[in-house]
Amino acid sequence: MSVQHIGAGEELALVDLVDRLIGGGVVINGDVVLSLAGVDLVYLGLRLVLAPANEVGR
Amino acid sequence: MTMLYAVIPKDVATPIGLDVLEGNAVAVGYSDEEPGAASDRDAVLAFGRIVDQIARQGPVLPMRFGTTVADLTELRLLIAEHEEAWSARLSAVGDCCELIVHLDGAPRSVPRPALTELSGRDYLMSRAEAVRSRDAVHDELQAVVRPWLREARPLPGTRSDRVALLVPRDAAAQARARVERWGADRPDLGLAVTGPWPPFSFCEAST
Repeated sequence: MSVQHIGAGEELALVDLVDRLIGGGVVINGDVVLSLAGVDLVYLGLRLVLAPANEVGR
Repeated sequence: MTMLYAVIPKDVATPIGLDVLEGNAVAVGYSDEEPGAASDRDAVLAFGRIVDQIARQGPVLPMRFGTTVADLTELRLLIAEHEEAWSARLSAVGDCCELIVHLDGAPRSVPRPALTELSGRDYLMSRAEAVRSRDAVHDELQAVVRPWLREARPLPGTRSDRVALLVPRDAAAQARARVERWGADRPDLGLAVTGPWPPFSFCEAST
């Protein structure tokens, strides 16, 4: 499945997954590093993260 | 550099491809990475695949992608500092998964009017009305899934109103079907559901 043929539902699921991977989860405050951008940037950068949803086993 | 993947119960099978450092109550799955490891799309998805595999094996608190420590000494300190809270959250969410409900049709905000059109009071009243309407939709959603709902949290975002629902894993399909039926009855809400996912949005205790 290419990026161009991702269905709307799969696209939404992929965006939610990537959004939660970098915007959710256990957050550590302190010297450890939290990389990548905040949630809004994930949405703005949607095209940068599109990939087949089945790549992540969903 | 040590990349952290997930908090898991102590004494469970080591997740595939990861090492595990145990504390007194919990363990953390990790891998050693070269400094400057990739943080692109492929890296995020690879991280997601591993977290997904761990979640299929049992209770998990996924780490936020990109969480690293310098070495195992730092990881030991981290576990010692947080394991009481992590253990409590694992107990709270360990048998659960997350559904994300998009409510594109629900009111998120009132279009910003020209300053000359509304007084400050009118503007604030219109904003308050929008918040009330959104909250009413959220309440209705929670009522729909009440038999299974453990927690619900609104998610940040700019494109749609989203709510994360924490439900038992063995009831996820039933809860999702119920929400989708509600959405079919309320096309004005523009409802869509994704998941089940690991409990990404419920790793911290609610404040």
